[in-house]
This record gives sequence, C-alpha cells and structure tokens, in this order.
Amino acid sequence: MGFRHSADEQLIERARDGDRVALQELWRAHRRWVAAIVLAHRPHFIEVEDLLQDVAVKFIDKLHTLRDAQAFRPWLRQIALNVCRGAARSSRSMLHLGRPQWESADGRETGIVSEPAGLTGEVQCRAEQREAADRIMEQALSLPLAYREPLLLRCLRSLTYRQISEVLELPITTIETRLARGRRMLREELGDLDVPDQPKPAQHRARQR
Amino acid sequence: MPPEESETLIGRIMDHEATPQELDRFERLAGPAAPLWRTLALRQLDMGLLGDRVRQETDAALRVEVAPDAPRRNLAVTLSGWAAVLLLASWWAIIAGTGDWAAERRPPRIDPVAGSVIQAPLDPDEHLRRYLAADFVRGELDPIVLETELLANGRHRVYFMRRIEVYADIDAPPDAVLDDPARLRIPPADQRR
Repeated sequence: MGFRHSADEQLIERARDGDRVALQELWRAHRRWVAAIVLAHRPHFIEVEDLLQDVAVKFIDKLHTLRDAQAFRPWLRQIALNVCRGAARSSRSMLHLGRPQWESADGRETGIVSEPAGLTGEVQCRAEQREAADRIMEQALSLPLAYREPLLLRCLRSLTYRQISEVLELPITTIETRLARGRRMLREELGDLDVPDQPKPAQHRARQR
Repeated sequence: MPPEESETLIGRIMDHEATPQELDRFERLAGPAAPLWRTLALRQLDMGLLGDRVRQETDAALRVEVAPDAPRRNLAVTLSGWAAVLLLASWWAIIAGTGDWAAERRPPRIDPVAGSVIQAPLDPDEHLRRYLAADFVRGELDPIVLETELLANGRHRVYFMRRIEVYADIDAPPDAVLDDPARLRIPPADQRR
C-alpha cells in the first residue's frame, strides 16, 4: 500500500508498545482528514475542535483494540463517526435554548454592524470571495452524506482516491463517481456563482505532467 | 462522451489522478472553445473555494494534540478532600505482600541537583500521604481486612478498608450536621468551609 501505509504500521506498532512520540506522530499525520470527517458528520452547532478532542481521547484509549494495522484509517473514521453520533444523541436530549438574538431564523448572523462605506476594490473582492466560500461550504454540507464525505476529504488534497477508498471502505471507482456527482450537484446548486473568464488549460496540463 | 464519463474525467484531471492518455482524450474532446473547458474551470473554482474553507474549518485539528498522560494527571489532582475519603471508604485492593507502609513515612523526594522538591504528578498514595499530613487529620486507625481472594496467577489479593480520623470545627450544634444514627449529613470537607 506504499510508503505512508508502511510508516503508519510502524507508528501503530510503536504506539501500542507505549511510545508516546509515535502516538503523537500518528495522530498528527491523520488529524486533518479526521477533522474533515467530523465536519461532514457533526451536528451543526457543535464545534469541530470540541468533537475532535473526544476523537483524540478515544483514539488513545482504544488503539490497543485495533487488530489489523492496515485497517487503521477506517477504524479511526469509525471512532470519529461514533463521537459525532454520540454528540447528536446528547444534543437531542438537551433542552433547546433557542438562537442567540444576533442570529436570524436561517441561522446566519444578522447585519448588526453595517458595512463601512467606500470599500476599496481589493477589500470588496475579498469580501465577495469570502461570501462565495461561505456559500459553497453551506451547499457542500447540505449534500447527501454519500457525496459530502468524499468531497470534503478530497478538497483537502491530502488524500488520494485510493486513500479515500480505504477510509470509506468503498471501491475507488465508487469514490470517483461520487466525487464527480457531488461536484456536479454542488455546481447545480450554486448556479450563478461566477467563473473566471479565461480557463487555463495549458497551465493545468503543465502541472499534471 | 456521456456526461457522467466527462464529469469523472474532469474530476480525475482536477485531482491529479488522470493518466497522460486521459489528458489527451480530454483535450481532443474539449477542442479549442468547447463547454468542457468551462466545466473544468467551474469545478476548479468550486473546489478551490471549498478547499480553502474546509481547510479553515479543519485548522482546529492542528490545535488538538494527544497527551497520553494528561487525563491521569488531571484525575490525580481531583482526588483530594472528600474524594480521598471516598477512595478510602471504597474497596481498596493491594497485592498481598507488596504494601509499602514505610513509604508513607518517607520525606518528599529531593532533587539532588536542584535541591528542591520534584514537582511530579501525584499518584493516589502520595495524595493520601499529603491528606494524612493535614491539620484536621488526627491519625489513621488500623485497617480492617474485609476479604481475601486467590488470583489466577497464584498471588493473593487482600481487600481492606482504611480508616482515618478527622475533625471539623462547626458553629452550629451537632444536631445540625448529624442525623439520628449519628451519620454525617454534610461531607467533612464541606463542614470545614
């Protein structure tokens, strides 16, 4: 399965033997994509960081129960899923406290602070970019889970198709199809979001080879 | 090319998974100004924006570190006062013959280099020793052996209860803190406050 996989297996073995440095290295190598899993599954009102803390604790507590080091990624994903599901269950039994006053009914912040007049073009451009990013994120999180999860994992650019297929325990072809459909669904939802005038196929191709 | 196939091919190109043959195929199909180029550009725009945003959201991951000994240390810190008494009142197990009573009378370890007390995390026994040194503790009574058990490895486990005599100075009459069988209504640690 390649160098990374074999490096993980060594780290897992050392971590199980009580090597704290190995345990930390292992966590650091995987925490980013685990955060993407948490982002895809979390109840929307709980912070990623809070849930990730729980995942980290369970990762430490349960590493000794991992039987097959090659199944480390799906094992870790399952821990993240369990934490998210547990949080969702707990939240259902909690008293609903209502929204803060500064949020509107759709959960967005209301414009209490008015936009200053005379924004420069650059600032305005950044503001538009941020708005576009927020919108695309919102749409991505509203996609069906089957598309949302691989999309969030892939857009971090830290996992290959093969690695995503390992994490999700699905064939690579399924991952490819879901990514393609997820991207198309996302674009259909975004509709009017602008596109640069000149695509740059030559530059893209140069990067590929 | 069917739309589904072109979407997958665009995805492979964007994700750097496409082979040179697939890149050639895409260029031939797309031509100089075909809609496929626009689709590719849109997908890149979407993924660029989404990637930045997801990265921003998952930056929280970089703040979450694993510290294997931290929870144990925190637990030890909380084992003081009333918790320590509860600890004593609960089943207390040791392996027969390994109880280190003398250790309770040892002075704190001194770092020979720095000449100061080592600030290591306290284990429960050290906590208890500190508790026993408190002003309100009059002493420890002989432990009461409750049970013995033969373990699978051939050793013996002895369950016993340790008893500590403490006092609390209170303003109210004793009836206020004792019920009929003379049991405490308020934990000792709270009575001292």
